[in-house]
Amino acid sequence: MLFHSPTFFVFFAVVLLLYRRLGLAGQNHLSLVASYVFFGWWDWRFLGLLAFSTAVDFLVAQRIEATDDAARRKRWLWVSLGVNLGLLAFFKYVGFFVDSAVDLLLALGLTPHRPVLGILLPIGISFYTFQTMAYTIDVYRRRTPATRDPVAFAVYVAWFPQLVAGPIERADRLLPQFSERRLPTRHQLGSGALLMLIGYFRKVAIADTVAPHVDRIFSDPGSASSLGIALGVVLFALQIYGDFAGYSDIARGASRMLGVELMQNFEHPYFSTSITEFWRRWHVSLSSWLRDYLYIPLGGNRGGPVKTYRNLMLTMLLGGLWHGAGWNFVIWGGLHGGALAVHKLWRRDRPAAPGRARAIASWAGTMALVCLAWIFFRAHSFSEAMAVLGGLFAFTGGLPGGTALVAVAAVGALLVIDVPQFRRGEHEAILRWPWWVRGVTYAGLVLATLLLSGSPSPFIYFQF
Amino acid sequence: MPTAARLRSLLRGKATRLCLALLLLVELGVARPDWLWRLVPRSGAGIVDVLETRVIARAEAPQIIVMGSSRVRDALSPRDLERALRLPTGAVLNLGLTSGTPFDAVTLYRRNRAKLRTARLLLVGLEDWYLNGAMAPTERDRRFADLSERWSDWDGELRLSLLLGYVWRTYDARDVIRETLQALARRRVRDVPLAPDGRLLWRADEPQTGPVDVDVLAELDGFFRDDRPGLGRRAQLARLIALAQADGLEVRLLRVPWRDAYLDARHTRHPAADARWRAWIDSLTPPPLGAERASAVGLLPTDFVDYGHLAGRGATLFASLIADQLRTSGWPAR
Repeated sequence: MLFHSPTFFVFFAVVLLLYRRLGLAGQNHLSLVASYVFFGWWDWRFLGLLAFSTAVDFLVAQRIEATDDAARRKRWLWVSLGVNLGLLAFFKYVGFFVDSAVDLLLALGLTPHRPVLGILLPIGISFYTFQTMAYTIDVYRRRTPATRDPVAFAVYVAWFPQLVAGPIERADRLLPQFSERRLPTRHQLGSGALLMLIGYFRKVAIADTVAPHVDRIFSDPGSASSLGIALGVVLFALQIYGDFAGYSDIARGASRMLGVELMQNFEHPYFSTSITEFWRRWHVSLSSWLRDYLYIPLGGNRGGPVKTYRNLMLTMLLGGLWHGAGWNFVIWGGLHGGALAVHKLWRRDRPAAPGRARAIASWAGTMALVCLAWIFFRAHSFSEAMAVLGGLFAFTGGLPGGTALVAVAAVGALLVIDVPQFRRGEHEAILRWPWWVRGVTYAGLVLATLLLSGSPSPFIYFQF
Repeated sequence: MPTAARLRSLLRGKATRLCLALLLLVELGVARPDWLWRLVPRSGAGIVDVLETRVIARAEAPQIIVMGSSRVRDALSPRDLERALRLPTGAVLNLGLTSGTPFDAVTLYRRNRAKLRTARLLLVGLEDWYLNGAMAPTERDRRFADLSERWSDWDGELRLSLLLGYVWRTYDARDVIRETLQALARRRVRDVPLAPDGRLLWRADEPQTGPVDVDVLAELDGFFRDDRPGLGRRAQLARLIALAQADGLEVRLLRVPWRDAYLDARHTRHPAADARWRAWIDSLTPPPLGAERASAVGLLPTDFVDYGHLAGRGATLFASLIADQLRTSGWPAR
């Protein structure tokens, strides 16, 4: 059930109307049923997996909390990590590892048999396994108490607005919200609806509109000029931002309309003037997860510069692999890890200097790097990425007029939304506009989204 | 304050009221009136008016009506069929249109019943993708389908989307509005030319022969993306047949051949769809006219311009095949 399908509108309207009539227990039961219906709509066969992951972490967390024996606590933690990472490894990475092993053997001159595994990737598994692991780790670290309410915990894991593509929430933020009856205020309903509208606009009017142009350029880079490829890469940067930030807006808006606040997942990343700032603004729930549960446990920046750079690189390589089982994602992560390390090294002896020209240059450099890295993220294989890079640096001229026009329109559309939000520092900045401007803007957003919508296309991050 | 009251108070906000007023303006001023749907002749919806005003209205005494998709449109030149059946000029009317479905046929028939019921024979082309329930509704479905048709001919997500469009016509009209805006931006509304024999002329030229090899997979995979059984088009076909028979017309179904490569690829890439199609064809009595496999009726790959649209030479051969089959089955009977 896609957020921008008529089925979801009916589903959400029914949930919203029933929700308000219920007390705490009823709201949680309804939330759980709705979340499982939402998830099962894609493939009901994976509901058992979701329930299993939920049950394991619910029970493990209680075991951890029940004892002060450090060894036992650690053993239980490993049970949770083993189960969650095991599920992830089996469903997401077995094929990749087997293929890589076969390729290695082929490179060594052997002729191994390449098995056909046919394992389906359960939608959202990367997100909900990370969310449940975060809970268990936090209980282990005594940062959050283990919940005794299995329904509230199951809703925390499966909360439908953010189940399939985040934000990856922390238990100490989300779980307490399921222990009180939720009565959305008028402001929550209004701003939630506005967030959803902005999300639909980002997804449908921007991401889906530029997608065919990106597909055309990436599927046949040989027939595009260098300028055309550069434009295609920029368009992909807009597409993935519109797609993912749009999803996050819809998730937050829908959740807010049900009285549950989700964290902000995007903070206008394309306004960043350094790669470090970019990662503070892009997919914040993942980057903060990686920081808290991977980078800091690896040692963070506590062991001197070399270890810091190593930890950064490892974190980003694994972050890349989290996105997808492919070497192109590893390279994407590696590029960002390398850039973060270089930036850290650069900034160690040079404090940030003020100045508009310097800021513009920093912004341009950051965007160039981010866009170059997107090539590996978008390409289906390493060779495809190299073909795109080869075309990009062939320095051939010729700007495709239609694509350029789409790019200008997409950038303009994003700026209309992002600039007021960025300047005001709040995502509901539109609510501060005069009423007549808001009215026209709302209608404009609805009509633009409607007129540019075709058949609903899945969100890019669903594949992760 | 309960949530419903909060929602109500939210809707009473000035900005929301202005937004709703603007949307209502678009709904009543743009999406609901018929002019929008007719404005662009080359659009999926506007083509119906081209057929009605320039083809059907000018037909004097049609004896054979041909309906179906663009493959039917290209496969049967009225003049070829008239010659082969020794019928007077103007006796055959080909109303095939791009992405034409049984719904378009029944809609055209209903809207022009006074003229079309005077014919003696109705030939209706069949397409394999009519059985794919995941195939999205066309602009004509959105323009003409009434509430019961939206409910009964569709299921799942597509039914919901059509019901939504029935209530909120702006949703139904979104493709048409976009096409109209694009036409206005170009400051040019392209017309649809007619061939000398009265058919719609979609391509700039009408080649006599086509290429030896073409990539059939793009179309094939498009027809059967997310393929699942759907009975809506068959129900529409049944309605058309019942209506025409009630008016005294003989109705014969028709298969236009595909390139062999297309059929082979359908069999291997979409076996369920292939089996569904075969089961349907086998269940039809009398069997449809025409043929399925090009090579079975002596058509060459070069007789097609693509996966299944006949070029000029192929269309002439096909017209004589249909004429032979009609004569063999005793037509014309009176």
